[in-house]
Amino acid sequence: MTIEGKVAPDLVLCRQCLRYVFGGTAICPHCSCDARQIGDRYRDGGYLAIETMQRIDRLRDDAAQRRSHEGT
Amino acid sequence: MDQAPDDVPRRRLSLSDQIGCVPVYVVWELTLACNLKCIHCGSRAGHKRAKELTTDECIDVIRQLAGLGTREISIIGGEAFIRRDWLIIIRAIRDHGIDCTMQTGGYKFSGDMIRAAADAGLLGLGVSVDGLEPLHDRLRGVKGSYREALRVLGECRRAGLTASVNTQITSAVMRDLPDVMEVIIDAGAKYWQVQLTVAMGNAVDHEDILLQPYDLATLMPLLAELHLKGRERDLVLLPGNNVGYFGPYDVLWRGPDRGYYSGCPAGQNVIGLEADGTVKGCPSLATDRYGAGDVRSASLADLWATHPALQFNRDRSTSDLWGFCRDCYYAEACRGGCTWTSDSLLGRRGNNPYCHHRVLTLAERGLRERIVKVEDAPARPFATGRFALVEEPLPTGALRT
Repeated sequence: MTIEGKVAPDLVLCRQCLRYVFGGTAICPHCSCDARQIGDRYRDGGYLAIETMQRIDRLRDDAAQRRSHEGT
Repeated sequence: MDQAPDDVPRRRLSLSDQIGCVPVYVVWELTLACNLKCIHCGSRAGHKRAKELTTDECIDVIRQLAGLGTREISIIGGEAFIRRDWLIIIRAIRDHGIDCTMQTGGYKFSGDMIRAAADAGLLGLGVSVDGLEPLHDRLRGVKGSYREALRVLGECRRAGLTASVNTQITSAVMRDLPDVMEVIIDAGAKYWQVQLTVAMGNAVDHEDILLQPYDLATLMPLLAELHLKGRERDLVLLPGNNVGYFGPYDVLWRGPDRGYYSGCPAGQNVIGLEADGTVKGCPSLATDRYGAGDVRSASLADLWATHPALQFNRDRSTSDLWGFCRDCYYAEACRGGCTWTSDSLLGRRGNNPYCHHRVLTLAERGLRERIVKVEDAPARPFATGRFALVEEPLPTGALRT
Protein backbone atom coordinates (compact mmCIF):
# COMPACT_ATOMS: atom_id res chain seq x y z
CA MET A 1 0.00 0.00 0.00
CA THR A 2 1.29 3.47 -0.90
CA ILE A 3 1.21 5.99 1.90
CA GLU A 4 1.06 9.56 0.80
CA GLY A 5 1.34 12.69 2.89
CA LYS A 6 1.30 16.33 1.96
CA VAL A 7 4.11 18.77 2.55
CA ALA A 8 3.99 21.97 4.55
CA PRO A 9 3.37 25.19 2.62
CA ASP A 10 6.33 27.41 1.81
CA LEU A 11 7.01 30.18 4.31
CA VAL A 12 9.68 32.85 4.05
CA LEU A 13 10.84 35.61 6.32
CA CYS A 14 9.66 39.13 5.78
CA ARG A 15 13.05 40.81 5.67
CA GLN A 16 11.71 43.96 7.29
CA CYS A 17 10.07 42.60 10.46
CA LEU A 18 11.58 39.05 10.48
CA ARG A 19 8.18 37.42 10.87
CA TYR A 20 7.18 34.47 8.72
CA VAL A 21 4.89 35.05 5.74
CA PHE A 22 3.70 32.68 3.02
CA GLY A 23 5.97 32.51 -0.02
CA GLY A 24 4.90 35.03 -2.66
CA THR A 25 3.23 37.35 -0.15
CA ALA A 26 3.17 40.91 -1.50
CA ILE A 27 2.23 42.92 1.59
CA CYS A 28 3.47 41.67 4.95
CA PRO A 29 0.46 41.19 7.27
CA HIS A 30 2.62 42.16 10.25
CA CYS A 31 4.54 45.29 9.22
CA SER A 32 2.64 46.19 6.00
CA CYS A 33 5.86 46.52 4.01
CA ASP A 34 6.24 45.30 0.41
CA ALA A 35 7.63 41.91 1.46
CA ARG A 36 8.33 40.75 -2.09
CA GLN A 37 10.32 43.84 -3.05
CA ILE A 38 12.34 43.82 0.17
CA GLY A 39 12.96 40.08 -0.25
CA ASP A 40 14.24 40.65 -3.80
CA ARG A 41 16.48 43.46 -2.60
CA TYR A 42 17.81 41.21 0.17
CA ARG A 43 18.69 38.54 -2.38
CA ASP A 44 19.99 40.79 -5.17
CA GLY A 45 22.02 42.94 -2.81
CA GLY A 46 24.06 39.88 -1.84
CA TYR A 47 22.79 39.78 1.74
CA LEU A 48 21.33 36.32 1.26
CA ALA A 49 24.66 35.05 -0.05
CA ILE A 50 26.54 36.69 2.81
CA GLU A 51 24.19 35.18 5.36
CA THR A 52 24.54 31.75 3.78
CA MET A 53 28.35 32.00 3.89
CA GLN A 54 28.15 33.01 7.54
CA ARG A 55 25.94 30.03 8.22
CA ILE A 56 28.41 27.66 6.53
CA ASP A 57 31.26 29.16 8.55
CA ARG A 58 29.26 28.70 11.74
CA LEU A 59 28.52 25.05 10.94
CA ARG A 60 32.19 24.43 10.11
CA ASP A 61 33.25 25.99 13.41
CA ASP A 62 30.70 23.85 15.28
CA ALA A 63 31.93 20.69 13.55
CA ALA A 64 35.57 21.53 14.31
CA GLN A 65 34.71 22.20 17.92
CA ARG A 66 32.83 18.89 18.16
CA ARG A 67 35.80 17.03 16.66
CA SER A 68 38.17 18.62 19.16
CA HIS A 69 35.83 17.62 22.02
CA GLU A 70 35.77 14.05 20.73
CA GLY A 71 39.54 14.03 20.58
CA THR A 72 39.94 14.98 24.24
CA MET B 1 6.60 14.08 26.96
CA ASP B 2 10.28 14.83 27.22
CA GLN B 3 12.03 14.84 23.91
CA ALA B 4 15.53 15.29 22.60
CA PRO B 5 16.29 18.58 20.82
CA ASP B 6 14.93 19.06 17.33
CA ASP B 7 18.09 20.25 15.63
CA VAL B 8 19.53 16.77 15.29
CA PRO B 9 20.42 16.57 11.57
CA ARG B 10 19.09 13.03 11.06
CA ARG B 11 15.71 14.12 12.38
CA ARG B 12 15.30 16.91 9.86
CA LEU B 13 12.57 16.11 7.39
CA SER B 14 13.14 16.00 3.66
CA LEU B 15 10.35 16.42 1.13
CA SER B 16 10.37 12.70 0.48
CA ASP B 17 10.09 12.02 4.23
CA GLN B 18 6.96 14.15 4.32
CA ILE B 19 5.38 12.85 1.13
CA GLY B 20 6.24 9.24 1.93
CA CYS B 21 5.20 9.56 5.60
CA VAL B 22 8.47 8.06 6.81
CA PRO B 23 8.40 7.58 10.60
CA VAL B 24 11.79 9.23 10.99
CA TYR B 25 11.56 9.75 14.73
CA VAL B 26 10.18 7.32 17.29
CA VAL B 27 9.65 7.95 20.98
CA TRP B 28 9.35 4.71 22.88
CA GLU B 29 8.17 4.30 26.45
CA LEU B 30 10.16 1.17 27.38
CA THR B 31 8.40 0.84 30.70
CA LEU B 32 5.90 2.81 32.73
CA ALA B 33 7.82 1.94 35.92
CA CYS B 34 9.45 5.02 37.41
CA ASN B 35 11.44 5.96 40.50
CA LEU B 36 10.13 9.55 40.57
CA LYS B 37 6.63 10.80 41.41
CA CYS B 38 6.30 13.87 39.21
CA ILE B 39 3.20 15.94 39.83
CA HIS B 40 3.14 17.00 36.16
CA CYS B 41 3.51 13.52 34.69
CA GLY B 42 1.05 13.03 31.85
CA SER B 43 1.42 9.25 31.83
CA ARG B 44 1.06 8.97 35.62
CA ALA B 45 4.18 6.77 35.56
CA GLY B 46 5.12 4.75 38.61
CA HIS B 47 4.20 1.08 38.20
CA LYS B 48 4.99 -0.96 35.11
CA ARG B 49 2.15 -1.76 32.72
CA ALA B 50 0.42 -5.13 32.96
CA LYS B 51 1.80 -6.61 29.76
CA GLU B 52 4.95 -4.80 28.74
CA LEU B 53 6.77 -6.10 25.67
CA THR B 54 9.33 -8.86 26.15
CA THR B 55 12.93 -8.44 25.01
CA ASP B 56 12.29 -10.49 21.87
CA GLU B 57 9.20 -8.44 21.07
CA CYS B 58 11.19 -5.23 21.50
CA ILE B 59 13.88 -6.44 19.13
CA ASP B 60 11.23 -7.34 16.58
CA VAL B 61 9.75 -3.84 16.90
CA ILE B 62 13.21 -2.38 16.21
CA ARG B 63 13.54 -4.57 13.13
CA GLN B 64 10.16 -3.37 11.88
CA LEU B 65 11.00 0.27 12.53
CA ALA B 66 14.27 -0.07 10.62
CA GLY B 67 12.22 -1.44 7.71
CA LEU B 68 9.96 1.59 7.81
CA GLY B 69 12.93 3.98 7.61
CA THR B 70 13.20 5.16 11.21
CA ARG B 71 16.41 7.10 11.82
CA GLU B 72 16.21 7.85 15.55
CA ILE B 73 14.58 6.19 18.54
CA SER B 74 14.40 8.06 21.80
CA ILE B 75 13.76 5.74 24.72
CA ILE B 76 11.79 7.12 27.63
CA GLY B 77 9.72 5.85 30.55
CA GLY B 78 8.63 5.89 33.23
CA GLU B 79 12.36 5.45 33.65
CA ALA B 80 13.80 3.36 30.81
CA PHE B 81 16.78 1.99 32.74
CA ILE B 82 14.48 0.25 35.21
CA ARG B 83 13.98 -2.42 32.56
CA ARG B 84 16.65 -5.07 33.00
CA ASP B 85 17.16 -5.41 29.24
CA TRP B 86 17.51 -1.67 28.49
CA LEU B 87 21.13 -2.04 27.35
CA ILE B 88 20.21 -4.95 25.05
CA ILE B 89 17.54 -2.74 23.50
CA ILE B 90 19.97 0.18 23.00
CA ARG B 91 22.46 -2.15 21.35
CA ALA B 92 19.77 -3.63 19.09
CA ILE B 93 18.71 -0.15 18.01
CA ARG B 94 22.28 0.74 17.05
CA ASP B 95 22.79 -2.64 15.35
CA HIS B 96 19.86 -1.80 13.09
CA GLY B 97 21.54 1.47 12.06
CA ILE B 98 19.19 3.68 14.06
CA ASP B 99 20.40 6.47 16.34
CA CYS B 100 19.45 5.92 19.96
CA THR B 101 18.89 8.71 22.48
CA MET B 102 17.34 8.57 25.91
CA GLN B 103 15.39 10.84 28.25
CA THR B 104 15.76 10.39 31.98
CA GLY B 105 14.95 11.92 35.33
CA GLY B 106 18.46 10.82 36.32
CA TYR B 107 17.54 9.59 39.78
CA LYS B 108 19.78 6.66 40.80
CA PHE B 109 21.31 6.61 37.31
CA SER B 110 24.90 5.70 38.17
CA GLY B 111 28.04 6.61 36.27
CA ASP B 112 28.65 2.93 35.52
CA MET B 113 25.19 2.61 33.99
CA ILE B 114 25.74 5.71 31.86
CA ARG B 115 29.09 4.44 30.60
CA ALA B 116 27.50 1.06 29.83
CA ALA B 117 24.79 2.84 27.83
CA ALA B 118 27.43 4.78 25.88
CA ASP B 119 29.29 1.53 25.18
CA ALA B 120 26.04 -0.04 23.98
CA GLY B 121 25.65 2.77 21.45
CA LEU B 122 23.62 5.47 23.15
CA LEU B 123 24.39 8.79 21.45
CA GLY B 124 22.78 11.36 23.68
CA LEU B 125 21.05 11.71 26.99
CA GLY B 126 18.39 14.25 27.91
CA VAL B 127 18.03 14.98 31.60
CA SER B 128 14.99 16.66 33.13
CA VAL B 129 15.66 19.77 35.19
CA ASP B 130 12.44 21.53 36.08
CA GLY B 131 13.67 24.37 38.26
CA LEU B 132 16.17 25.12 40.97
CA GLU B 133 16.48 22.58 43.78
CA PRO B 134 13.36 23.31 45.89
CA LEU B 135 11.02 23.56 42.91
CA HIS B 136 12.54 20.62 41.02
CA ASP B 137 12.35 18.32 44.03
CA ARG B 138 8.77 19.39 44.72
CA LEU B 139 7.67 18.81 41.12
CA ARG B 140 9.56 15.53 40.81
CA GLY B 141 8.22 14.30 44.14
CA VAL B 142 11.58 13.03 45.45
CA LYS B 143 14.01 14.95 47.60
CA GLY B 144 17.50 14.81 46.13
CA SER B 145 16.31 14.34 42.55
CA TYR B 146 17.71 17.76 41.53
CA ARG B 147 21.22 16.95 42.68
CA GLU B 148 21.00 13.58 40.98
CA ALA B 149 19.99 15.22 37.69
CA LEU B 150 22.99 17.56 37.81
CA ARG B 151 25.31 14.71 38.71
CA VAL B 152 24.07 12.77 35.68
CA LEU B 153 24.86 15.74 33.41
CA GLY B 154 28.44 15.60 34.65
CA GLU B 155 28.58 11.83 34.15
CA CYS B 156 27.37 12.31 30.57
CA ARG B 157 30.23 14.64 29.83
CA ARG B 158 32.72 12.16 31.26
CA ALA B 159 31.18 9.33 29.22
CA GLY B 160 31.38 11.36 25.99
CA LEU B 161 27.62 11.58 25.57
CA THR B 162 25.92 14.72 24.30
CA ALA B 163 24.11 16.12 27.31
CA SER B 164 20.86 17.94 26.91
CA VAL B 165 18.39 19.25 29.45
CA ASN B 166 14.62 19.21 29.22
CA THR B 167 12.66 21.67 31.27
CA GLN B 168 8.94 21.66 31.83
CA ILE B 169 7.64 25.21 31.83
CA THR B 170 5.26 25.44 34.74
CA SER B 171 3.81 28.58 36.26
CA ALA B 172 6.36 28.34 39.07
CA VAL B 173 9.52 27.97 36.99
CA MET B 174 9.45 31.19 34.99
CA ARG B 175 11.32 33.23 37.56
CA ASP B 176 13.88 30.40 37.97
CA LEU B 177 14.72 30.09 34.29
CA PRO B 178 17.73 32.45 34.12
CA ASP B 179 19.32 30.72 37.11
CA VAL B 180 18.49 27.28 35.73
CA MET B 181 20.36 28.23 32.58
CA GLU B 182 23.47 29.17 34.56
CA VAL B 183 23.34 25.89 36.47
CA ILE B 184 22.98 23.65 33.43
CA ILE B 185 25.71 25.46 31.50
CA ASP B 186 28.04 24.87 34.44
CA ALA B 187 26.94 21.23 34.48
CA GLY B 188 27.96 20.77 30.85
CA ALA B 189 24.64 20.85 28.95
CA LYS B 190 24.86 21.72 25.24
CA TYR B 191 21.14 21.72 24.41
CA TRP B 192 18.23 22.96 26.44
CA GLN B 193 14.76 22.02 25.32
CA VAL B 194 11.88 23.77 27.00
CA GLN B 195 8.31 22.60 26.80
CA LEU B 196 5.05 23.83 28.27
CA THR B 197 3.53 21.51 30.84
CA VAL B 198 0.37 20.06 29.34
CA ALA B 199 -2.98 19.47 31.00
CA MET B 200 -2.75 15.69 31.16
CA GLY B 201 -2.60 13.06 33.90
CA ASN B 202 -1.08 14.31 37.14
CA ALA B 203 -0.88 17.88 35.84
CA VAL B 204 -4.69 18.01 35.71
CA ASP B 205 -4.73 17.10 39.41
CA HIS B 206 -2.36 20.04 40.06
CA GLU B 207 -3.75 22.59 37.63
CA ASP B 208 -2.15 25.47 39.52
CA ILE B 209 1.19 24.50 37.89
CA LEU B 210 -0.18 25.07 34.39
CA LEU B 211 0.59 28.34 32.65
CA GLN B 212 -2.30 30.51 31.66
CA PRO B 213 -2.24 31.21 27.91
CA TYR B 214 -1.67 34.91 28.56
CA ASP B 215 1.56 34.05 30.44
CA LEU B 216 3.15 33.58 27.02
CA ALA B 217 3.31 37.37 26.73
CA THR B 218 5.90 37.25 29.53
CA LEU B 219 7.47 33.87 28.80
CA MET B 220 8.37 34.30 25.15
CA PRO B 221 10.50 37.47 25.50
CA LEU B 222 12.25 35.78 28.41
CA LEU B 223 13.00 32.68 26.30
CA ALA B 224 14.29 34.91 23.51
CA GLU B 225 16.63 36.67 25.91
CA LEU B 226 17.87 33.35 27.29
CA HIS B 227 18.31 31.94 23.79
CA LEU B 228 20.63 34.80 22.85
CA LYS B 229 22.57 34.62 26.11
CA GLY B 230 22.86 30.84 25.75
CA ARG B 231 24.30 31.13 22.25
CA GLU B 232 27.18 33.19 23.60
CA ARG B 233 27.99 30.38 26.02
CA ASP B 234 27.64 27.36 23.73
CA LEU B 235 24.17 26.39 24.90
CA VAL B 236 21.42 26.00 22.33
CA LEU B 237 17.98 26.74 23.75
CA LEU B 238 15.34 25.07 21.65
CA PRO B 239 11.58 25.18 21.91
CA GLY B 240 9.62 21.95 22.18
CA ASN B 241 6.77 21.25 19.80
CA ASN B 242 4.29 23.08 21.98
CA VAL B 243 6.25 26.33 22.26
CA GLY B 244 5.24 28.70 19.50
CA TYR B 245 3.96 29.76 17.10
CA PHE B 246 5.04 32.33 14.52
CA GLY B 247 5.57 35.08 17.05
CA PRO B 248 8.32 37.69 16.70
CA TYR B 249 10.93 35.40 18.28
CA ASP B 250 10.28 32.25 16.24
CA VAL B 251 13.03 33.27 13.85
CA LEU B 252 15.55 32.96 16.68
CA TRP B 253 15.05 29.26 17.30
CA ARG B 254 13.28 27.93 14.24
CA GLY B 255 14.92 29.84 11.43
CA PRO B 256 16.44 30.62 9.12
CA ASP B 257 18.90 27.77 9.87
CA ARG B 258 16.21 25.33 10.94
CA GLY B 259 13.30 26.33 8.73
CA TYR B 260 9.98 27.11 10.38
CA TYR B 261 7.27 25.43 12.35
CA SER B 262 5.32 23.28 9.92
CA GLY B 263 2.66 21.75 12.13
CA CYS B 264 2.32 18.66 14.26
CA PRO B 265 4.21 15.71 12.75
CA ALA B 266 2.36 13.01 14.73
CA GLY B 267 1.46 10.06 12.55
CA GLN B 268 3.23 11.53 9.53
CA ASN B 269 6.87 11.43 10.62
CA VAL B 270 6.62 10.44 14.29
CA ILE B 271 5.53 7.26 16.06
CA GLY B 272 4.94 6.91 19.77
CA LEU B 273 5.06 3.49 21.40
CA GLU B 274 3.75 2.55 24.82
CA ALA B 275 5.48 -0.18 26.80
CA ASP B 276 2.74 -2.72 26.05
CA GLY B 277 3.13 -2.18 22.32
CA THR B 278 0.31 0.33 21.81
CA VAL B 279 1.06 2.52 18.81
CA LYS B 280 0.22 6.23 18.59
CA GLY B 281 1.16 9.08 16.31
CA CYS B 282 2.92 10.78 19.22
CA PRO B 283 3.83 9.20 22.56
CA SER B 284 2.03 11.87 24.58
CA LEU B 285 -1.38 11.74 22.95
CA ALA B 286 -4.36 10.44 24.90
CA THR B 287 -4.44 6.66 24.43
CA ASP B 288 -8.24 6.41 24.34
CA ARG B 289 -8.53 8.79 21.37
CA TYR B 290 -5.25 8.15 19.55
CA GLY B 291 -4.32 4.52 20.28
CA ALA B 292 -3.82 2.82 16.91
CA GLY B 293 -3.74 -0.84 17.87
CA ASP B 294 -0.69 -2.65 19.13
CA VAL B 295 2.29 -4.48 17.71
CA ARG B 296 1.09 -7.83 19.04
CA SER B 297 -2.07 -7.78 16.96
CA ALA B 298 -0.73 -6.41 13.66
CA SER B 299 2.53 -5.48 12.03
CA LEU B 300 3.77 -1.93 12.46
CA ALA B 301 3.77 -1.50 8.70
CA ASP B 302 0.07 -2.40 8.51
CA LEU B 303 -0.89 -0.15 11.42
CA TRP B 304 1.19 2.71 10.04
CA ALA B 305 -0.37 2.39 6.60
CA THR B 306 -4.00 1.87 7.51
CA HIS B 307 -5.02 2.70 11.06
CA PRO B 308 -7.35 5.72 11.12
CA ALA B 309 -5.88 7.03 14.40
CA LEU B 310 -2.56 7.69 12.60
CA GLN B 311 -3.95 9.47 9.55
CA PHE B 312 -5.16 12.81 10.89
CA ASN B 313 -2.11 14.88 9.92
CA ARG B 314 -1.23 13.38 6.58
CA ASP B 315 -3.48 15.38 4.27
CA ARG B 316 -2.68 18.63 6.11
CA SER B 317 -6.36 19.51 6.08
CA THR B 318 -7.50 22.53 8.05
CA SER B 319 -10.99 21.11 8.54
CA ASP B 320 -10.20 20.12 12.15
CA LEU B 321 -9.43 23.72 13.12
CA TRP B 322 -11.86 25.69 15.25
CA GLY B 323 -11.95 28.80 17.41
CA PHE B 324 -9.17 31.32 16.86
CA CYS B 325 -7.02 28.83 14.93
CA ARG B 326 -9.66 28.32 12.22
CA ASP B 327 -9.33 31.88 10.94
CA CYS B 328 -5.65 32.42 11.75
CA TYR B 329 -3.31 33.71 9.03
CA TYR B 330 -0.99 30.77 9.74
CA ALA B 331 -3.73 28.09 9.74
CA GLU B 332 -2.40 26.14 6.76
CA ALA B 333 1.16 26.03 8.06
CA CYS B 334 0.54 25.59 11.77
CA ARG B 335 -2.75 23.69 11.84
CA GLY B 336 -3.31 24.45 15.51
CA GLY B 337 0.20 23.62 16.71
CA CYS B 338 0.79 20.75 19.09
CA THR B 339 -2.09 18.25 18.92
CA TRP B 340 -1.26 16.91 22.37
CA THR B 341 -1.56 20.35 23.97
CA SER B 342 -4.90 21.38 22.46
CA ASP B 343 -6.53 17.96 22.50
CA SER B 344 -5.61 17.30 26.14
CA LEU B 345 -6.79 20.71 27.24
CA LEU B 346 -10.05 21.07 25.33
CA GLY B 347 -10.86 17.47 24.41
CA ARG B 348 -10.48 18.21 20.73
CA ARG B 349 -7.53 19.14 18.54
CA GLY B 350 -7.32 22.21 16.34
CA ASN B 351 -7.67 25.16 18.70
CA ASN B 352 -4.58 25.97 20.73
CA PRO B 353 -4.63 28.94 23.13
CA TYR B 354 -0.93 28.42 23.98
CA CYS B 355 0.26 30.43 20.98
CA HIS B 356 2.30 33.62 21.09
CA HIS B 357 0.88 34.96 17.81
CA ARG B 358 -2.61 34.42 19.20
CA VAL B 359 -1.81 36.03 22.54
CA LEU B 360 -0.39 39.11 20.80
CA THR B 361 -3.28 39.33 18.35
CA LEU B 362 -5.83 39.14 21.17
CA ALA B 363 -3.89 41.70 23.19
CA GLU B 364 -4.14 44.14 20.28
CA ARG B 365 -7.90 43.75 20.63
CA GLY B 366 -7.68 44.29 24.41
CA LEU B 367 -8.39 40.61 25.18
CA ARG B 368 -6.75 37.61 26.76
CA GLU B 369 -7.62 33.95 27.40
CA ARG B 370 -7.68 32.02 30.64
CA ILE B 371 -8.24 28.30 31.28
CA VAL B 372 -10.48 26.90 34.01
CA LYS B 373 -10.68 23.23 34.95
CA VAL B 374 -14.18 21.82 34.66
CA GLU B 375 -13.49 18.08 34.78
CA ASP B 376 -10.81 15.96 36.49
CA ALA B 377 -8.74 13.37 34.64
CA PRO B 378 -9.36 9.68 35.40
CA ALA B 379 -6.64 7.76 37.27
CA ARG B 380 -5.04 6.08 34.28
CA PRO B 381 -2.03 6.81 32.04
CA PHE B 382 -2.39 9.62 29.48
CA ALA B 383 -5.83 10.52 30.78
CA THR B 384 -7.26 13.94 30.08
CA GLY B 385 -9.68 16.13 31.99
CA ARG B 386 -11.49 19.05 30.50
CA PHE B 387 -10.81 22.76 30.64
CA ALA B 388 -12.96 25.69 29.58
CA LEU B 389 -11.46 28.59 27.70
CA VAL B 390 -12.52 31.99 28.99
CA GLU B 391 -11.96 35.13 26.92
CA GLU B 392 -11.82 38.26 29.03
CA PRO B 393 -10.69 41.89 28.80
CA LEU B 394 -6.98 42.43 29.23
CA PRO B 395 -6.45 43.95 32.70
CA THR B 396 -5.23 47.51 32.74
CA GLY B 397 -1.44 47.57 32.75
CA ALA B 398 -1.06 44.02 31.38
CA LEU B 399 1.49 43.41 28.62
CA ARG B 400 0.09 44.32 25.23
CA THR B 401 3.08 43.48 23.07
